[in-house]
Amino acid sequence: MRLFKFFLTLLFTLVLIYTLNNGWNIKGTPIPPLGKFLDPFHGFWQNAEDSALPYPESVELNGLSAPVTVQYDSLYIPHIFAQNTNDLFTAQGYVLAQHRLWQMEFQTYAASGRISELIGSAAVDFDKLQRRKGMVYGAEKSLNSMQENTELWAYVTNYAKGVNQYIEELSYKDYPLEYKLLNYEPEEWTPLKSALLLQYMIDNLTGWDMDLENTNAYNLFGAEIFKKLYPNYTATMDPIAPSAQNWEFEGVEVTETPDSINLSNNYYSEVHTMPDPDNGSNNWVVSGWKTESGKPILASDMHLGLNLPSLWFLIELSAPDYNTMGFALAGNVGIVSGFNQNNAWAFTDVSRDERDWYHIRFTDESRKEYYYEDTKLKTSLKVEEIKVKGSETIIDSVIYTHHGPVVYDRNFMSEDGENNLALKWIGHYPSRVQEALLGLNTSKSYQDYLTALEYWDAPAQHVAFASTSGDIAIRVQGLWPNKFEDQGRFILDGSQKVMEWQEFIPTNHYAFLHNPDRGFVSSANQHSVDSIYPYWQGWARPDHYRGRRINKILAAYDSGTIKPDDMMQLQLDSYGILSQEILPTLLDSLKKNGLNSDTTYMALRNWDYVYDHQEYAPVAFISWWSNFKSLLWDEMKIDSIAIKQPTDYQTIYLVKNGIPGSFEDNKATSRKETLNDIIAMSYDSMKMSLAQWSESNTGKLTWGNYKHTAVTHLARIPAFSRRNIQVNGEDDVVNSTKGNHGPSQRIVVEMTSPPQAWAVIPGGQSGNPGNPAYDNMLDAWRDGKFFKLNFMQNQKSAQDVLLNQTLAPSAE
Amino acid sequence: MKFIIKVILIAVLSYILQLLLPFWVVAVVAFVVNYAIQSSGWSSFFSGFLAIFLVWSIVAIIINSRTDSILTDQVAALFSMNSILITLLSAFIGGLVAGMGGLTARMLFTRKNKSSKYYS
Repeated sequence: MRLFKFFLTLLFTLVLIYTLNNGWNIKGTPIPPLGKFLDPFHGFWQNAEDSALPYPESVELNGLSAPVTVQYDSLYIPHIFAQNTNDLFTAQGYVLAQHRLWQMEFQTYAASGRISELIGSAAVDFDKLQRRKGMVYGAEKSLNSMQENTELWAYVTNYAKGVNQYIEELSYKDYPLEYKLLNYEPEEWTPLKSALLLQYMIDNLTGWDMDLENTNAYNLFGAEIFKKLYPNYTATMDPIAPSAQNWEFEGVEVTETPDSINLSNNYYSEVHTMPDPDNGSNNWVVSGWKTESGKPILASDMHLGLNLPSLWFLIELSAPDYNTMGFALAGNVGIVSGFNQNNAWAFTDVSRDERDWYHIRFTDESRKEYYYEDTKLKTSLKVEEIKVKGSETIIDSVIYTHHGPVVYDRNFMSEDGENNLALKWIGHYPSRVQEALLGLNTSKSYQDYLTALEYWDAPAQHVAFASTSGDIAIRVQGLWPNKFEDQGRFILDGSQKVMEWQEFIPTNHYAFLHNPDRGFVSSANQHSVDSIYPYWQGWARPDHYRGRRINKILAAYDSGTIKPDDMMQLQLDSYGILSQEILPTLLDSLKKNGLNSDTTYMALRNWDYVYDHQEYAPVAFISWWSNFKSLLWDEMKIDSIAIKQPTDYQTIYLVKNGIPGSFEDNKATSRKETLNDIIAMSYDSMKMSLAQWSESNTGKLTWGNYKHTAVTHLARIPAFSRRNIQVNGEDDVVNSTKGNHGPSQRIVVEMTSPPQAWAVIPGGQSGNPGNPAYDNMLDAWRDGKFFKLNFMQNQKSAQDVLLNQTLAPSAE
Repeated sequence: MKFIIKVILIAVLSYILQLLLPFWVVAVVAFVVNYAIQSSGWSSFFSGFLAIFLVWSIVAIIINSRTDSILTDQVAALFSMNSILITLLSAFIGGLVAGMGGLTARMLFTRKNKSSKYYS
């Protein structure tokens, strides 16, 4: 009896410990291992930090050839001083891991479709899509191209060594918080993970198209109306590299052009999730003759999802012939966007269509072959094993054709098995941007910038450039097939050779501006070139507003007047051209009684088109506009057919110049509406929507509250996110800030010798929610403030920095 | 008196061993101490519970005040709690594990005369 009691108690104790030592999933809510997690000696408590720089003063690292010093300034920015570039990148890997290990790894899990492993079945569809898009397939190609360059390969492997030595130092107690919460351990870092991070960015910037919706719209409305609703070039354009200059080349003819596009008659009911269409950026450079100092000024802000830990990491990298400061990604070698003693460079995305879909006809159910011209081609099969936390592993079979992986098929978003669509994507070509970036890091002249960019392929970017010698430039850089007109705007026939991508546009035919007479270059994702440019371009989601606003303001400055502060103010500009171009029309067409005593109407009449977070008018306008569009384009809301509304720009153009077809008529009513009816009806719907908002929300109906900007934790953990950030701006204004998306960094660089720079990020340097530097810059970002960067160039004495960290070669 | 000695012993030994070993070492410590110093079931359980409840809550409170509650509030929110409750929950869990360790030791030896529980 006694022994029985003992074993019973022992068993109970062991079960208790087992329960508390393991993670559980209760009704879909993951529970961390409570004993481990809540233990103040090892659990989450140990991640609370009273200093922003809780890092050791000396560290031993394998593989260093000489000591490296890392000095942290008052913004907690590390400045790495190494005696050679190999050591520099080992140190960079170590330092990034020290600050951002969890983020580094999580982003590569996301890239490769492994999130279900961490959070369970909620992420299975996401993971399937990542695998079906061939994210790893693309990353492996880039990895191979890295391997071909021995110098680069050494850098990438050294970086991995740095990361891995940080990982090896860790015990459970030191794990970043999210590992403890989600109950897993860091893996070894590999060069493939660096390539995956790159792939993640390529997908973010090129993983968008409207080919399925375009095909639907074309079939539904006919060619003539389609062209009016979705023109490839718009009436007003302010392209990045206008054709006022004569192109010094003749365009190369497209090798083969089909007689007709042969659109399939299929309708596509669903379109897979795509990156935010507003992923984009602003950048511009003004010439020295326009500035007060006589030196060029460069400005850059990149609009991406607003997340914590911050996407960007501020860092200075220094070694002989290497002295660069700027924004690095957690996981890539070197600096992405920044400046050195001579040059500064910055990116915006090129809104060209960089992926196409090919309709595949398999010969039979086995899907081992598909029709191509007069023959049959073999497919290959990639079996994807998706591990799912707390559930069984899911097997997904992805079929590869010579076009690319078949994303839509009977197992994914096309259940009838009719619409088998293979993805042809620039992201499946080896990317050499890592080489290009390192070239920019060490560039000393305009010529070096050109040389570095020869390697720049995907994602296509407008690369703005400024130098202390006075050069300013912008290049439209990427890798594009030379397409026949309308190629790839619709689903293409995968059995016809003529429909394929043929030659690429020769790189010496790319559009660019170098020291233009107008005294500035700028880009904001608008059309890169106009229709005179000798190659046909398919545009995806081009901007119509930010670019025009920026150009108008820059052009208006007299010579010798621009100060860095003016450029910071322009980044914060929240004036909406969209609202300026449509609101008066809407207001003038609104025929109702008692409008002069209607507070909403009067607020809109008196609005200055500035998206100020304290104002009510922007709320009323945005809601009215969105209600108006859904009434006008109600014909496009069809259950089983995916269609996108025309752009805001085109909608406004058509409202002013005549809407084709009978879109004005609202199908839900029996009478026949006119445009004015729609305007009045949508005004009423706006008032109803806003009344509903007020019922379900506390707080005043201001733009800031309505927009409800949030910077969310990467794994969507609410407690580690920051919500309801009262910030100005809207997606179509220069300060492009919306709900969960906006400027992921801002920087202004004046090209004095040495250059001076001011920057801010919506977060901080640390990836740890328990560190003061997790979100220490967020308020400044919200309020439009900047921090002056300390471009050290040379090592300082240890007393002059917050932390002087020595990475010494280990005596192995 | 015996109870207080046990609490102090468990607290000190656990504090030292926890610097090296995972949280469940508190159960082992409470087991060993309660095996060495035998007393009633209540005393065996609560010596472990109280010792670790105190150690864990004190360590947690020190971390919390040193770091200005920077993380406690966020994690507490994750558990729909406040920082006091999450501290109590942590301490309770540690206490429970140690308490069970102590109680297991009690089950190993035969019961002495019943009166022991009045002065332990």
